[in-house]
Amino acid sequence: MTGSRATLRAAMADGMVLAPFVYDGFTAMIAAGQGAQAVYMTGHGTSAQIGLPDVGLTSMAEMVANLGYIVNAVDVPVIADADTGYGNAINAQRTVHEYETAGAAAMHLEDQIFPKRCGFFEGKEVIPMEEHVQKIRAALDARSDPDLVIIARTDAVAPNGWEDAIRRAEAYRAAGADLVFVDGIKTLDDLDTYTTRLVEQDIPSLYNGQLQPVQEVASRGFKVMITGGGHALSYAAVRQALLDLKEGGGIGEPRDTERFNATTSLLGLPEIYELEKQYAVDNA
Amino acid sequence: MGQATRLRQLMEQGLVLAPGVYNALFAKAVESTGFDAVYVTGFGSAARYGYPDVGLITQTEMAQNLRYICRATNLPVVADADTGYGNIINVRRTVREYERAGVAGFHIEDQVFPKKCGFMEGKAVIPLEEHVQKVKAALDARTDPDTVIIARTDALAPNGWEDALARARAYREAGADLIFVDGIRTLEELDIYSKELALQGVPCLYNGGLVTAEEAQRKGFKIQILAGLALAAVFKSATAAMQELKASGTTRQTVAQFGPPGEGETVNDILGVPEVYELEQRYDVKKEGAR
Repeated sequence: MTGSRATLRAAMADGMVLAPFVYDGFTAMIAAGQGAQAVYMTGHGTSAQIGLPDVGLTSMAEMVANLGYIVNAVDVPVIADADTGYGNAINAQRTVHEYETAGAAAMHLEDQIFPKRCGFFEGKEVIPMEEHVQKIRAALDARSDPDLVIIARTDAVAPNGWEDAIRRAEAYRAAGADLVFVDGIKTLDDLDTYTTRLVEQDIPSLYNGQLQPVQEVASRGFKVMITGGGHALSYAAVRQALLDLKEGGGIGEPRDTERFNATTSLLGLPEIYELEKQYAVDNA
Repeated sequence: MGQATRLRQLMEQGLVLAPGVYNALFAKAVESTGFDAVYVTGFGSAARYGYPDVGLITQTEMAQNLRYICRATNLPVVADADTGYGNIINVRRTVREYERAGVAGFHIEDQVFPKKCGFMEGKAVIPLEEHVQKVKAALDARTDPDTVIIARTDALAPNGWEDALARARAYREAGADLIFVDGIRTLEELDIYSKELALQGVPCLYNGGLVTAEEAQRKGFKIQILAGLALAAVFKSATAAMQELKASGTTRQTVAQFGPPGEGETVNDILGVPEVYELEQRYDVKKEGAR
């Protein structure tokens, strides 16, 4: 929903927006169904569900396709991973066009070299700060809806340390990024540095992780927190169900009508039956 | 050996148990936990795109998802092809697209288009004769004669057993490799399915978990699918995580409940991150010699 860009901005002005990790329409609907005020489309999860590791193999077109499904599936703002913008500043501009058309409320662009890798993997490298400043400027210029939230991410902590990461975050904010996102926060010390050096210096910031519960992250002054669930939990749950099936010699769980109905309701089946009546759809 | 040939071999050896998934990551999990085949559910595929299973998902979207899944696993893939997405002309294209995607076998059902999930209310079926033609068209469209064509009937709920059995026999007579009567809800229904078809020399697929694979084999079935396995696991775990997040601001308990996978079994392991690092070294991608 493109109208949700204003909603997202209003919510950020009010306090911290919590956006759970989702990787497809179904998980987005589960999150929204449980009252999430926004959802976060993970690049790691989007890659995983098509069988790829998060090392820059998934194309922008594939990301946009998934984004479109998620946007259609929920009424809440969708914050989307846009990796490096899939190339240089020109590619970043097309990425902004495509994400905006698909209905993203917010998107983050990072300063890794292309092809990138997951923010928590070994061997990350970053492009020069000045080059990413230009990509952020290009992204801001490419918006046709000024409410689209452009988030500048830096991956510099792991390869270059905090001083470079802070310098970059400040420069990206000065270039006009709505939010900054320092990724790869692994310890509470890191989170404290992030808080005192950026968040408390009035730089609107996003936190990715689960080092602290939501309330404590909010009280630090972050504007957005992305956390929880996601494809790793789904994978663990599916794997567990498969192992249970092996152990049980092939017997599944009994048919759970309640869960079946909860699932189909979440997916909108009751509305379909209503529409069939409304438009006199004859099935026979 | 092609996957279709492999699937036929497995069926000769005994019952093939194929857990139901709807994305490439979960297909990899099926392989790594030691199963012989993967089933790709249309219900789950629709849910993945954010829709209920009522015929809104296109052949293109199904085939695209299957390409990812077939690329991700070394196991034969049995797939849901719904109604074939139209009439016999559409069926021909569906067969080609699914073969190209790499599936070993797939089922085409006799519901009207747009269809509904086999366990939903309000199903309706096309005339038996029309679906016989669709089955024949599917068989003729194969480029690999080993591709397993499964004729599914949804007639049980709307028309009862007599019609469902007549249809199953007619589709087998038309040359379908396997028959699939969907919507089996009770052991009594499973016994009818078994006695009237599976034990009468009609090769059959059973969708459900009312009995173990061993028992399903004794009842004469060739394939058992648990179509809803992955979707149920995701629904349960993701719902629990979102409820915990709302209540306490973390998802720690839910994550702990499903347990961290062991060595060599994490998401990154199974997606091949270690292989990526090896390739980077082999082709000297990383100047700084990461890791």
